Amino acid sequence: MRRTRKIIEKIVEGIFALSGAITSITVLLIIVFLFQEGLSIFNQKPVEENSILAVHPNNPVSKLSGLQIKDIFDQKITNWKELGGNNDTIKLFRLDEAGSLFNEEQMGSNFERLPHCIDSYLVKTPGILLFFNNRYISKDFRGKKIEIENVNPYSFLLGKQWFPTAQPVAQLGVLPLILGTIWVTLGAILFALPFGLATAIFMAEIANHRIRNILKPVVELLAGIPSVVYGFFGLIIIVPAVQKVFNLPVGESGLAGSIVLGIMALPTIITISEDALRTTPRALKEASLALGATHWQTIRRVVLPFASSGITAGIILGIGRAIGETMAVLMVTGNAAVIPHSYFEPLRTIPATIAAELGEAAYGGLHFKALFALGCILFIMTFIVNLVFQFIAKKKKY
Amino acid sequence: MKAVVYSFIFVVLLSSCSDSSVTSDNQGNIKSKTKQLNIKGSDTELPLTQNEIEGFLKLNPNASISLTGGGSSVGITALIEGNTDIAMASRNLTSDENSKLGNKMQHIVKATIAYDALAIIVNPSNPINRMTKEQLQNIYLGKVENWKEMGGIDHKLSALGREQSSGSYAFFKDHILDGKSYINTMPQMSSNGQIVESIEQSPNAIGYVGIGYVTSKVKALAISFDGGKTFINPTMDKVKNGAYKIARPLYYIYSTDTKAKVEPFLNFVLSDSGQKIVESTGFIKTN
Repeated sequence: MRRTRKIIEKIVEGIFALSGAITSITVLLIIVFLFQEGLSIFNQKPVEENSILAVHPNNPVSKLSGLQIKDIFDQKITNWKELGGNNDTIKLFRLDEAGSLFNEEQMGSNFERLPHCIDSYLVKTPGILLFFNNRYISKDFRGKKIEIENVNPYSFLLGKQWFPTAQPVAQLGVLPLILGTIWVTLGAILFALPFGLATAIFMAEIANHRIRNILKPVVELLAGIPSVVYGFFGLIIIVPAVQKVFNLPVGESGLAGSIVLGIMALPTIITISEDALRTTPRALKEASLALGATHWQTIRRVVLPFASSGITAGIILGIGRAIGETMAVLMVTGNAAVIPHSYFEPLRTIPATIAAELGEAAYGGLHFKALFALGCILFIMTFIVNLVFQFIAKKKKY
Repeated sequence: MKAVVYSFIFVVLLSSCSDSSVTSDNQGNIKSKTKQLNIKGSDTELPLTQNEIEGFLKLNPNASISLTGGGSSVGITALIEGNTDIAMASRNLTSDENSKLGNKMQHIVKATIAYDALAIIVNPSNPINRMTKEQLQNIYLGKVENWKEMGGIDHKLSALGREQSSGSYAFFKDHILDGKSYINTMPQMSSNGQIVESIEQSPNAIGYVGIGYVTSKVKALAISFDGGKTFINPTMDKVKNGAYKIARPLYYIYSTDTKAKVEPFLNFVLSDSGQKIVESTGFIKTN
């Protein structure tokens, strides 16, 4: 009997060890996958595969930045002079315009003579900027191809324009998204901290047993509501309210996002702060009261300082919750990819961007990889938050 | 432990049940070799195709069709990789996709099954009823910031758009903005419904939505495409006769290699009863 029990115990231990190993490996694999996909963006050019940008052979311009190309196609730059070239107006040529420039006879029924058409058109037009697919490049192509640099970490992290689907050159600047995430998280904490701390103190020190027994499950229930519901609540109630109160053109704004996120971070902050407050040793509190301190003085001078590291930990976990929140933010912040200057403007966060765009990004493409790189940035941000949490939670002081 | 075993059995049962005629599959691993017709792509076309399939199955109860959304790009990628028979697309193929498809398949057929028009909507309290295409372009390029400049009230204007991954975003950019980039402060809404919702609440906002989404609580503007000579309301008739030009074709893209498999369904969609479903779903007929 004893032997079989021992064997069973061994098997159970083995299963536990195995599940531990599987969990760790899975987590590691996901991280490796995330970074592998994300970092591969830096080996890529911000243009579609097989597409070519070319100019007239006599054009002195041979290099253009992604932003310059965007401004050319937006017709903000219209003369080669602005780019250090000759005084010539820029003539854009996209492949879909071929039909209006050449007739079917010239192109051939299966476009077999299109490469030749493009080539001769190019030589005739000194100010041309061609954008086409290398399927239609002729063997003796006379144009000068424009060099486009790979996506580099500097322009990726500090770029201010997020237009990942722009043609011909995708604009991948994530600074507005990073700042948007930090901005809305900060707002959420500013909003949640006073409420959360007050509720925690009330529950730990002031409320009687009965009220606490009602309040605690209610707060915990708040943590169990799906984030879509919060988002919907925000969209229907908070967004119109924000718009009316502050007389904004649209209510979708950083403020609405902060309020919704603040509500979502409340349970984390309340639960952890309350636990920290309640761990204050009875002896400390009683000593304070015995010295003649009032209840409020005891809370302020004894309980709060004792629990401060626990409260900080609660706040940081609340921040972690807010940074990674996707659905609710997507619905209420308006998602304009601009660097936020006030809480009354729309902004766009990293998780919302990934959620909104991943579905349409072609697998393995530039946009897809850019979104994974965003995932890496988000991972690093939450990782730092968790490290800080670990550090503070360990530091207990009397 | 028991619970785990039960839930495992439950999952197995579920997955064996899902072999019914219309299944959603997010993996996209179905091989086109089977008899089942696989359709994948644009979310705009998803409700329409769903209705078409229901109509088709009434006539052909033995047919087997699988339908998946995910977006135009997803459908086209699946077509390139041979994981779907029909790619639903609400936009044209990019040059990259075109060349990838060209490498794999001999002939690609792009069948137009319906049209979707975009209506430009404002709050009913807005005194403006019409606008030229150029004015609209200036709004979305950020050149106009106050309704006063358009002859409206003196209030800051706010232009709402769709997500960058949406077909409407790309279509509006190509056809109204002539390929130029939107102003980057434009809020990007995740759905047609959300734009309608926002416009209902903000007297100073303007947005674009699929014509099927226009409700009585928002006002659709008449648009002029000839510099202000004639203004055209976004009605089904005006879209059909080509006068209202903010309309895009919705495509089924397939290879001639799988023609035999695709054609019965495609013919149904293009038939009179199929086109009736197009209209009842809020899109515009092809003929």
